[in-house]
Amino acid sequence: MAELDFVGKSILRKDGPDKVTGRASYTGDIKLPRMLVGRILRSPHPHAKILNIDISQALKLKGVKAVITSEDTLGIKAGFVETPRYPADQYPLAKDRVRYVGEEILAVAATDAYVAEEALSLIRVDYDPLPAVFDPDEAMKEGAPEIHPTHPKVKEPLSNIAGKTQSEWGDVELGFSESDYVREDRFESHLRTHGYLETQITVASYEPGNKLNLWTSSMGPFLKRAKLARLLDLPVSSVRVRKAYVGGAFGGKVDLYSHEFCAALLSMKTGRPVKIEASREEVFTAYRHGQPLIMEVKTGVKKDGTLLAQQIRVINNCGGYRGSGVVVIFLGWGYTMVPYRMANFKYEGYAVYTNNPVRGPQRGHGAPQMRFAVESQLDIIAEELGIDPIEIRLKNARESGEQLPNGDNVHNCGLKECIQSAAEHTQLKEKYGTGRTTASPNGHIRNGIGIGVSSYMSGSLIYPNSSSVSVKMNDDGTATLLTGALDVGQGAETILCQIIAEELKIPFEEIQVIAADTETTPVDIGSWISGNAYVTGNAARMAGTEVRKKLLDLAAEEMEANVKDLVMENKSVWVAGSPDKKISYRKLIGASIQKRRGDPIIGEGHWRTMRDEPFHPSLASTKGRWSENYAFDAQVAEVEVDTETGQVRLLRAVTAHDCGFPINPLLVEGQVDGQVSMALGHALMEEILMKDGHTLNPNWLEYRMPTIHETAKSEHINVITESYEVGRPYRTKEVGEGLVSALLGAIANAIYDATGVRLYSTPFSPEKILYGLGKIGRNQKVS
Amino acid sequence: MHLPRFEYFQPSTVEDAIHLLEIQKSGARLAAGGTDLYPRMKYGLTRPESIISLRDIPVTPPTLSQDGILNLDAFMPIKEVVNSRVILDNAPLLSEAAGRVASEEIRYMATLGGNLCQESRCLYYNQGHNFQFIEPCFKRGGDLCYFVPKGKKCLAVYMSDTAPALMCLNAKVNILGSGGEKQIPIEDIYSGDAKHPLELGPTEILSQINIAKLTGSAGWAYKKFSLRGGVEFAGVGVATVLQMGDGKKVCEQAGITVGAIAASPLRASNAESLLKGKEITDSLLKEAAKAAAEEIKVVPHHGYSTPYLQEILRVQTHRALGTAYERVGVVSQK
Ligand SMILES: Cc1cc2nc3c(=O)[nH]c(=O)nc-3n(C[C@H](O)[C@H](O)[C@H](O)COP(=O)(O)OP(=O)(O)OC[C@H]3O[C@@H](n4cnc5c(N)ncnc54)[C@H](O)[C@@H]3O)c2cc1C
Ligand code: SF4
Repeated sequence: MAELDFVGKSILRKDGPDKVTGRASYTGDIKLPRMLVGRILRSPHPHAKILNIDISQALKLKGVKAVITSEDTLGIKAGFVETPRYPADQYPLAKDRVRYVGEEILAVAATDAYVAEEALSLIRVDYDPLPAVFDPDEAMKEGAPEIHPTHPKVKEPLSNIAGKTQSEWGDVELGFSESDYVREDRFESHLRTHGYLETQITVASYEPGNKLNLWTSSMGPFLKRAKLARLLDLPVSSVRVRKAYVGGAFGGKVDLYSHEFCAALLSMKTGRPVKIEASREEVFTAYRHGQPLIMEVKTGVKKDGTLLAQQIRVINNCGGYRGSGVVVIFLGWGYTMVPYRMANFKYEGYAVYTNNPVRGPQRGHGAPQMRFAVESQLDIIAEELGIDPIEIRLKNARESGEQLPNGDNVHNCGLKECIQSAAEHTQLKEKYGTGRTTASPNGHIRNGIGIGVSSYMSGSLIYPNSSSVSVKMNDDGTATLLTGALDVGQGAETILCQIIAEELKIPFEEIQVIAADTETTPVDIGSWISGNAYVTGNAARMAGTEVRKKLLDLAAEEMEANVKDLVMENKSVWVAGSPDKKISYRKLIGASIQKRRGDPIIGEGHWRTMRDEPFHPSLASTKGRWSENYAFDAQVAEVEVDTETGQVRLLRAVTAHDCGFPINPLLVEGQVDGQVSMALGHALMEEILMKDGHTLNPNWLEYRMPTIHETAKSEHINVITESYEVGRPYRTKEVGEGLVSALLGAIANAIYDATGVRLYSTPFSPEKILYGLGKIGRNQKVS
Repeated sequence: MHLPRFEYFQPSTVEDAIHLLEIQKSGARLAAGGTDLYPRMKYGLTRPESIISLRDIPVTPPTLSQDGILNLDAFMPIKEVVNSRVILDNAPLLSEAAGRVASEEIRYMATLGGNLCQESRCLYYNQGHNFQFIEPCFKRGGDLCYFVPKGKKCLAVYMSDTAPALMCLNAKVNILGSGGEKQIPIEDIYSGDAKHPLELGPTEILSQINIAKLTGSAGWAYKKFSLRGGVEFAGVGVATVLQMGDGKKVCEQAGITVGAIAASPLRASNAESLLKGKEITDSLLKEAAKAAAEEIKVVPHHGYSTPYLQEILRVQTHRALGTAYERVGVVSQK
């Protein structure tokens, strides 16, 4: 295999210098002449009819330029999912009825923020409050307040069902009857949020001639453009969504949000640019967080630990509209079917409307929760059977080439190696079980170790489904890359440049990028389906290959040589063995212009995962293929528990993962560390506290994200199962979501190892641990 | 979120500041570091017409008087309270508690006086009220409580870290007003009513804090319970002082005060008397901790439940007493 110069190297990020010097320009830095400030009026009620909206006083206020309500819209709904089964279900501005606190009622545009906020205070909305329900178990009951009718395809006598996913193979009942041990548990996960530093923000500028320009903090511009064009009934080509630097997203900026629509419509109404920036409080109270799931898991095993049957029922508290609630119940199936072989499986997932804010994807999109449940139960089972946690996992882990029940194939799978290497590296087998029995020098501290496993898909089919990349050679022999991919901090632009640098042997620094502009760059799948490195990366590689071929053909012609004998390096070409007689790219481009009637050298590449599959698998039945690349990982957590206060410290997290191969090992390491700290917060401290649909801690002080003081030592082991070769398609895997997913279960297992307290719900708060240890009475949560 | 409009004054003497307060009447607020006040103004919890900043008033460095009284200027930045040699040597408990206030950045801005005069806190109160909890609760001048809907009074919690330490040290504070200066025990600045936790009048300024120095046979500790390091208010904060006799075995005087569980710091008097005159053993400290947790009734707050806080109060008191005992004879913190 030829040596690689750029791919596989820890090259520093392209966006690094801009970010550390403060030169990076975010949406908030955009200032346009005559720009107005927009603000949104939100519902104070979790459930109410809107009787009347009186904007007259606001309109009289000096400096107010426009007020829009649902009457100013075309009455078109939008949704995270827009399919025949799950059509769009939410108006960008509430019409007649509100279903959660914070739901958008109207928006104003004014000359400054003071005026805009004063205008909001002058608006009168009359409501007729309706009975509300917040708990999904309650909301499902017959006779519960109806937020929306139960989905017509769900025939059970249940209320407020937004959607259902069902899937089954084998025969679970038979599997349970053949099992030596059957175990049933109920797990619950809590509400937490992304914590992106840059709040949601949009600048919209409508130009005469029907052009709407938009800069918005997002995860990819093409989905935003499509949805916005539809809501405003504009031709797609009239809407231009462009890149600004993004201050973090973690899944929270995928869908089109009301404020983006409002900024656009306000700009169209006023003919002036409009900026709407959400406050941190709005982000915490009214925007979309992750999904709290209830997971009932029943598993049957043979004495030797072989998994025979599993039945899972998931209930998702999905908020006042569907959001991604009907996606996460589908994904819950996916995250359980991959890592372990299971002959008999039955899955049911329900998304349940409640009068809580809508939910969206959050890094891992349900995987941390599902893996927490499954991995916790696996340890319970292993203990019952007297098998150690590593053996039971190795016994059931999938191996290379295995076909999944849905028709996918895991291809090269390093799961067993991940489990083994993580266990060996941490001496898990030796340490396991000693924490509880060994008195620590500091009496009340106990140590524990635990493992979790996860698998994550790398790219699937959702709009816009494919990525294209163009590469054009410049006269000086450098290249410019055009991609629709939006670098949200994960390093998209960096790895794409590495690939082009490798294919063309142009120094990395000399590759320029034009990115994420719906007008000038080709389409891209977006930075949310864990497919950037694989899908957009292969598109870039193809574009590079095409340019490479053109350069080589030209060089062969110029040098009267055979393409096969040519060598490329540092922007020049020579015949193998005679590096002194080289021809530079600059000359080749000159030759092309001269001899090929001005033909410039441009390459294009296109990629789509599962190219023969028509769509995403069915959200209802899981039928259809899901992904063609699966990443695997095993994570080991070592914790310390203070048995007097119940506080847990994550001391060390070891991640062994099969990411195929790392295009940039440094970026992979960054992803590992970032996910470890996110999982730590999820496990131990971060929680959105809510009471009757209201958010109690909408700020960084009381939403407790870990700080540097809590940060755990993170180590990682790359299990390499794939490779990169110039000119050939490659198969690499994701590293951005799977590594936040196994650690939650690993921490739960480590806490059990340390204390003997088995936790069935997240977060693993000190209160629950002291309760488990019998040191305090029932946990009566008061806020 | 942004600050509302207000008039701004920056007097250079305390007298001018008091004069301005008198002219402005209740429409004015003092701003020292502003780290408690400005966030509340951004939330619309207080809407002063004018701000009288104390930042231009020179700060007198801490001094130790002949009779062993440490005099601290209330306008001293918390950061200096943490680092001051005189304080470390004579009131190390205060340095320790001050070092746990907020974060490094905030400690540079925040002042000792401001820390004592901070408002009490509640999840329902410390946020904007544009579309959540719009109707004012007791603390915002209304007639209801969101936290305890059937409650008759406000249960917001006063969360200063330095206050329990100062109360434990029996500090006295000087209050300057139009009528001159008075010195009162720190206990007396608290009203006990969470709605208005402080007794200070609208034209009064807390100007000085006075502490009798700790002797060589004393031990001390401040233990703050929070889920995170770095920046977080206490779930419970416990300050302790063990004043030992000459042999350093028998406890002559004990101080145990608890913060962040009520409208003011509270003293665990039963636990204190349990220790007084006794030889210190771990089981005695345990007993005292238990007594403290029994006599002090905690208000659940910020996501912590009553049984949990009660237990943490016991554990932290035990730990604080243990550390204090270990430190007996070690005068300075550093
Ligand atoms: C993120 C964050 C975290 C925090 N964490 C903590 C913490 O862990 N522990 C803690 O104790 N505090 C904490 N605080 C609160 C606050 O920062 C501190 O209490 C600080 O010491 C307040 O001092 P200041 O000088 O900034 O007060 P200011 O905000 O200037 O004043 C506070 C109040 O006291 C009045 N005032 C100020 N000085 C005087 C005076 N000399 N006489 C009479 N009245 C006066 C003001 O009018 C105002 O009402 C935190 C604050 C923030 C924003
Ligand atoms: S405890 Fe006080 S501040 Fe909190 S809601 Fe009740 S009245 Fe308001």
